[in-house]
Amino acid sequence: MRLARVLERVFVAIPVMLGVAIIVFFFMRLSPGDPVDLMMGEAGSVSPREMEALAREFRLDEPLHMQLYHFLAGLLRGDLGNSFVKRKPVARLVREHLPATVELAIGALVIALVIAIPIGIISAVKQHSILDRVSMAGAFLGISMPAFWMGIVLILVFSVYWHVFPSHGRLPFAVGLKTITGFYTIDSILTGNWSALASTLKHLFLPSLTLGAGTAATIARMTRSSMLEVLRQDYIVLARAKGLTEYAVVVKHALRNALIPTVTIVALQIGTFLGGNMIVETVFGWPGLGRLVVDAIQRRDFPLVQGAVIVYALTFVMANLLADIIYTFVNPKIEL
Amino acid sequence: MLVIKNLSTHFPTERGLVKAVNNVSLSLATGEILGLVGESGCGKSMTLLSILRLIPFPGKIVGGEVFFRGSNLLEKKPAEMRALRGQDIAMVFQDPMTTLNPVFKVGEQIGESLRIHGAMGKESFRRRYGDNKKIAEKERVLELMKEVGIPSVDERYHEYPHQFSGGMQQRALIAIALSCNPQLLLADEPTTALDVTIQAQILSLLEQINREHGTGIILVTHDLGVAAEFCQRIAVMYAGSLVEVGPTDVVIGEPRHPYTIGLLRSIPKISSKKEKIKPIYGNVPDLAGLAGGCPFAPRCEVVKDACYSEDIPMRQISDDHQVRCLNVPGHSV
Ligand SMILES: Nc1ncnc2c1ncn2[C@@H]1O[C@H](COP(=O)(O)OP(=O)(O)O)[C@@H](O)[C@H]1O
Ligand SMILES: [Mg+2]
Repeated sequence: MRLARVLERVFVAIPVMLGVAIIVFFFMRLSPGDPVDLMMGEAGSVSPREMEALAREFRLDEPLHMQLYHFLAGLLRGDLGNSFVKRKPVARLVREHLPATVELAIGALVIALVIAIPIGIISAVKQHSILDRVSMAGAFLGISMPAFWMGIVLILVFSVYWHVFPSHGRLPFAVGLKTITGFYTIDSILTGNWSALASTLKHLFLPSLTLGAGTAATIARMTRSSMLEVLRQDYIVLARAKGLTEYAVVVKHALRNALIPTVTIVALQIGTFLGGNMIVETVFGWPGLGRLVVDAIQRRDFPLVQGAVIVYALTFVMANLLADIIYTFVNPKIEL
Repeated sequence: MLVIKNLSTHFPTERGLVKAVNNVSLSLATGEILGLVGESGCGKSMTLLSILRLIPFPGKIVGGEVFFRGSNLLEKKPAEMRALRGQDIAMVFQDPMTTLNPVFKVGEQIGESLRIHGAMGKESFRRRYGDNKKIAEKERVLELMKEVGIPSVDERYHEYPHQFSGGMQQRALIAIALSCNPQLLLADEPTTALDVTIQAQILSLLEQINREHGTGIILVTHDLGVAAEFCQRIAVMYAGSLVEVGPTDVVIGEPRHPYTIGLLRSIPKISSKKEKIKPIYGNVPDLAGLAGGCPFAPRCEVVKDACYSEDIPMRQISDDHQVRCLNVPGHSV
């Protein structure tokens, strides 16, 4: 029953993603700047004939509706086309860059959760204490500080002044990690390359912190307010009247309830982490999908942008679905 | 078994100090059912929560003594208090719909008190339910569920609170309260949120528990009729203070405090002749910053000047009947 519902949701998502793909197709072509011009501008002086040849190769000489037709027909075959600039299949480029982005997203999520949930709980339990005030001020800062600014500040402090964390990339070339999955943490464990693992984690830290800070702040505030709400409930008084310790009251009876709204937000954030990290990847020179797309947009690399946006749409849809599924697990009152 | 002396619980609020429980003295004999009656907001719940020392912030027990089996609960260490809660003194709450934790199965919630207090390790439980704690716990929970009248317990055990009706939820809550065989049961308006027919069932369940286990019960209600039917003694509370305490037939038959008299007159009676019900005029006072004197004075039909100025002591007017009113002669306690 549950599986049928999940499949239904997945099928409903298909037209949504198709719609997204078509919109991106038109927006890319409506925006000023021509891919051929941009490529030729870099090459220096070129003849009109060379430009025509290039346009023909990219099918940019055909009418718009024919271009759309080729794009959609390719999609149905599972073919995202070839990058104009990199001259490689878009699917392969996405596959190569996705692990870096996913790894960063997981890092951000872990950091956000590890910081935010305990802070949210303690701030609620010790409401109005110094700790509560300080952490809520911190959360305010975390929400309002733009990622590029926070990234630069972290680099200045931790890389430039203190030299504790690297500021750029995923791993120094010299470490020589054999890539298997593209997830450097997993690859270094699989190959038993512990120095690579240590280095990978160090490289992950600052970008994860930057990416996760806003979410951590949101989760901390949410956990705090729903915890405060829950702690006022009658069933908490009952839990105390049963003779439970205050720790058990908070961690067992209150937290399970307080996390219901938080869990949903967290699952939705996964979509944002994967799709909203262009700035962080750019600041930290992180070779992920975000940077690939920024580059592709600047060069009007239509197929690559289209392909990446489809992947983004897919992750958002999946994150939404995941949020709904998790919600039914944590809240017995709701069925999918 | 329970002797409360001069208990006071205050809430500092923006509008002034709220004396939610003001110098309350009360006692309960073993196996007795005592009714604590009063309008909503008069401090009944806070009296019960003071006994368990579970007053919500910013409230505080500021004075008095609560002797339970001879020792003062207000002097106990937090761990000693926790050992008593749910084991020797259990509480049933007003709103069953919000008192069960929505994310845990009902059977699990009933079993929790047993686990906290290590009930299944005790000799008496082991003899009855066996040595395997898990099986024993489930046995005991199912037995409790049957005792409080929950049907098809095997399925109900695995259900969540929202799958229960209000009456069934209250039965489950009573099962939780009974799980460790408490000597004292604090029932805070256990039927207020329920339909009338269910009310009667729950009340007779409490009566049955009292009869079969000898559990002492303080039954809080705003309904004097309910108290009259189920309680051996009645204490009437008004604005944080007790105004009249006595055996049920005395308090109902020969009430002396003007508030008790007013309450009795305002109960609609089912009878063929149409008697007029007489409401008490005026409103329940705001407890914040209540001045000295009798709190009932502004609504009282027999008020005197002195009622406003003096703090009126509780007076013993016969062996077991106490009234707090200047118009009623008697000696102070
Ligand atoms: N959290 C609180 N903050 C301030 N005052 C409170 C709080 N809880 C209860 N009170 C005060 O205590 C009084 C008694 O409340 P309560 O014992 O719940 O009344 P009852 O159970 O008789 O309806 C109320 O009138 C209210 O003013
Ligand atoms: Mg109450």
